[in-house]
Amino acid sequence: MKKWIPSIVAGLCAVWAFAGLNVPASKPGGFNFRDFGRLPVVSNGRTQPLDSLARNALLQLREKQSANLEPWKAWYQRPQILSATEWLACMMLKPEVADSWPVIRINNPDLLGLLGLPANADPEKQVDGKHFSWNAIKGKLEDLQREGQRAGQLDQSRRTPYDQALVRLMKCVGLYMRLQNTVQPQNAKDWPAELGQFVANAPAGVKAYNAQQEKKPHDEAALERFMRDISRFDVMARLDPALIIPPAHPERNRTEWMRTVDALVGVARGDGAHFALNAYARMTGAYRTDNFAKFNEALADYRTALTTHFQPELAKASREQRFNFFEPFYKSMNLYVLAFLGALGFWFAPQRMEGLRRTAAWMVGAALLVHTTGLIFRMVLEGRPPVTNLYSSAIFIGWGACILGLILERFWRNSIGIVVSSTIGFTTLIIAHHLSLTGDTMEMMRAVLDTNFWLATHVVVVTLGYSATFVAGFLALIYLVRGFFTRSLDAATAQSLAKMVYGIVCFATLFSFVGTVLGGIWADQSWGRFWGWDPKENGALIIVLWNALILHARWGGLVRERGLMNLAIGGNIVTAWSWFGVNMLGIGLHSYGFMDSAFMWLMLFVVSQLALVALGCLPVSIWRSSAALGGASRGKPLPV
Amino acid sequence: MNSSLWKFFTSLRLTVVCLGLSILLVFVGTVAQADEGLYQAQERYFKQWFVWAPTLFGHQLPVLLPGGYLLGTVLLANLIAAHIKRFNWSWRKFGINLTHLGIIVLLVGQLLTDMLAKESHLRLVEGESRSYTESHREHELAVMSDTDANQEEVASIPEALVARKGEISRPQWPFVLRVKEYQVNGEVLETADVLQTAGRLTSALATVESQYATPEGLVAQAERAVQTAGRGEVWRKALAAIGQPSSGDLVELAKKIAAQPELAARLQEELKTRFQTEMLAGFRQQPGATSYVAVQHLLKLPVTPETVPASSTQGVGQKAFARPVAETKEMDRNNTPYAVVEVVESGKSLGTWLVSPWLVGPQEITVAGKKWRVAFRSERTYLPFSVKLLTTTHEVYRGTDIPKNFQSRVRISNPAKGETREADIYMNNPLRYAGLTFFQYQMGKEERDANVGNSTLQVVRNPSWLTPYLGCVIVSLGMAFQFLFHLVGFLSKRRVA
Repeated sequence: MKKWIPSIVAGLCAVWAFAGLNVPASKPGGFNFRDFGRLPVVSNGRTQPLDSLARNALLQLREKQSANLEPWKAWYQRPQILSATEWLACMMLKPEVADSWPVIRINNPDLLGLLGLPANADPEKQVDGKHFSWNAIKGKLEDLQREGQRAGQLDQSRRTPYDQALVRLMKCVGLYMRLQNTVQPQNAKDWPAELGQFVANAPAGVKAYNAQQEKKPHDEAALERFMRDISRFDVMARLDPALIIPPAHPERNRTEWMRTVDALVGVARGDGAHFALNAYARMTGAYRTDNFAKFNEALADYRTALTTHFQPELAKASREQRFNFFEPFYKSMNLYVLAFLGALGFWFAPQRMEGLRRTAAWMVGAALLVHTTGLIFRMVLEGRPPVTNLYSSAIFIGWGACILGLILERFWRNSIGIVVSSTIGFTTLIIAHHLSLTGDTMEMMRAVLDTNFWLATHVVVVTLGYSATFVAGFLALIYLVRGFFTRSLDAATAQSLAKMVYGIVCFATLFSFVGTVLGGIWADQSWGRFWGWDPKENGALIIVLWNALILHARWGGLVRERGLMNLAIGGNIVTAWSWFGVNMLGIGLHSYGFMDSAFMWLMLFVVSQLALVALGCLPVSIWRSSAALGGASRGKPLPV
Repeated sequence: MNSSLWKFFTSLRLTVVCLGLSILLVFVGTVAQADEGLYQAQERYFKQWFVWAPTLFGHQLPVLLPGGYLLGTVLLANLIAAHIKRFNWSWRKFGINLTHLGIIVLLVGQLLTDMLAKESHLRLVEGESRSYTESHREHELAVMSDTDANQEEVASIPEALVARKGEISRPQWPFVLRVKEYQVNGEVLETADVLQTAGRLTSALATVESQYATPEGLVAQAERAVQTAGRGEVWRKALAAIGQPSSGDLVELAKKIAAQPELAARLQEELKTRFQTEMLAGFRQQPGATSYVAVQHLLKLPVTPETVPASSTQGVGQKAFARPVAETKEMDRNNTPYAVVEVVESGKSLGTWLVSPWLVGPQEITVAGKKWRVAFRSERTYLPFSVKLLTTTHEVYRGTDIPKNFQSRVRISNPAKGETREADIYMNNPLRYAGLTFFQYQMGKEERDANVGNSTLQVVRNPSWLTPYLGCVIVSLGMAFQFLFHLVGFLSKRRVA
């Protein structure tokens, strides 16, 4: 029985994770938000469910995928939390209610000062000092606009944290208004009736307008009504909301989705009211009167109407909603933490804790399974190889490192592989989460990158090279930290670590070299230059050169065990630079992944690695493990 | 051979040092691109033997770095020497040897590319056909004459020769060209336009002057300022500058100040200067004559027919004014040169002509009853075939600005071979024909909107384009072999243990 415990524990964890694949049905006797959330719309150039639109919006507004309406309450006080779709429904259909919900996150104290908002939590007054409602900031929009414009004109590198917070908030304001103008003009009181009037009045209005243009007598009242509506719609058009109306002629062109305002202009042109326009208006009317039965009926009718021509879009939207509820990367992050704790426990008492090590190893296996499923699910949704942008590169680097770690664990069974897998897996997924805060992570590929062949070869191989270099660097960190700060690094462990690092560096050299050259060939194919000294190319080249340097220094006997470790830690810096640093230069053909807030983290990381290298250069005699090492690292060179 | 030198060139220590320096150079050269521009940094760091005073995060460091050529050469020498010394045939070493052979191929291939590859572009409007490509950066002075009804003879003089400002002659010419003036970067303005703009600026400044000439004017202007946000802002700043309260109703404030003559005069002066400065700043933002006139005004230099003399005595230059401009540093912008040439026929001057890529089309010069045409233009490479742009499409993803596809359908006509064929060129799908490769050039949104129906093709001639492919295959095979060789050895050793 005892033999089976590790696998059973890991199995239960996997079951917990995969349970998320089942999207829970909405409660009977309420709005059917599950089906509403999987309505297909087009935003950011791709078909997606309303649920994704809602989650991405919330990520940008408040860095979470759900809306907490009472953020001043602690978790045990059970604050009211809405699902993303539920929140979006209210935003689009009953905006005046959503305006009182504190969903806009503002961290910068100076910005809070500008807006006259309290920076401290005060549950009595129902504020937490971080999240604010639209109603709380709308009085200061003019100040925000003025300051935001100033900050927006500044060069990225010259913005203070306050300026950056301003620019971010301005984006949030734009996003917020866009959402509220998606289905109806934001100031609509009774949209179904207003739409009906517009449709009825449109022919007379257009006629009057044309007559007026020709300076002929015309129906003043009809013209005035018509122009008033048109100017309201014009506001909607300028905000450029998501395209929620399916193409009028799917048999001719499936991609011509429309904004609500385009369909309204269609009415004025005499195309008649699009069925989706009416369907959304019906849902709006029912939602506003809290009539869930009517809402669900309108929703079901709309979905049925879509099935005739838009079955693929409906299916795609349902799949993506399922993926959203699955949250594979969040779940594998949790499993990585558990595995890490288990592996650490083993290090404290290796003799008695073998069971713990096996449980941890199985746990990494479970996490990897969830991670892999998520990766494949994303690939299916996008119809793309695994790495398409910075976000997915983070997920893939973690995935590759996790597999390498498991392979190491399979051979050495000393928990080191587990620590490598779980730590790098966890860290990269955290990085991915932060990258996802900037918006949709499944954005469309620009023309130059639109080739699955090169994405699948060059990008995948070079990213595996990143993974391997990080694994080697992380193994070296384990060597150093255990050797310098603890007594647990004995000569045998040190030697096994050195072998691991050497093997992984060989692997990293192979992959980073092949990946880099494949990138050159891609460049030759797409703009006739094998090598253009572009920052991203140079970053990859530096990794290749660094790995080659490690191998040659080792073969030439210039470094031994400790030197090898220090160089491998240097590999972490080089890889982090290539991965993020070059994007921050903001030049060259590859600089589509620009980001600023990560700069400080990159610097911190580089400094920490340099500090560890400095420690590694101190004489072994002052290391806490110096007795256990028995002077091995000063001794003979390693066998090749 | 000197044995210590041999030892130096075969040592692994040299390899490691070179690799380390290469890492440093690539890093510095990459970071410097942000300050110096992509193209300039490439030239300064990688295509050099030595780099003096490299830039790091905006700071010049007084150190000497080995350049890309030097490191590449030393690494190549080191690689070859080490293999001559240590080469022995064994499976153990097979992968390593193969890898290094591949790297030699790559390094040599890059050197060849650097020496032999030529890039140019082909810019076409739908329906247009061309049988030449144009260089990005180089210019030429072309002198053309008709040999018969549909044949023309072109003599092309490279920019470098023009830059020397000497005499240029060709056996078939009945004249000599004397380069009187040459500027590597400049602009050509229309004289009439410059003078007219100068008049416009003077009268606009005078209007401002008159608006704030009297205290009563202040109130009228305050009423105007309330209507527009920008003006109100200037008013409040001006009020603050003369130490008056700047918040509240502007019209009321203006009325109050208008009643106090001394204060009113100060405010009038303040506002006048501020609005004039703003106006000049606005003029400076605009291209061509407008900006020139504003700058001259700021420098207190007059703009009269005397200060903007005609650039030449003949041709378009009679009505044009050319002036030098600082050389461009940006990656995507090029210098536009100009020159003034004198045509001398058997010792007698026929006058001077202004030539520049600014001017559209060639200018005619008649010498001894025969017509010649001259143009200073992008350097052309003539092709033995013609390329016609049939259609071009620029697609973006629905509801976004993200480019989805750029595509050109072209027809190649090669009369010598009796060949006519059509092909689609789009991103990642170039056309290779007659030793040239045609790539679709991708435009940004603004560039795209300004050039509907246009397509630019990047044209590359690179005889050594296959070497990286070959090198890559060899290195990959070598590394994969070595890696598997060790992995198998490692696994079997573990199994025994």
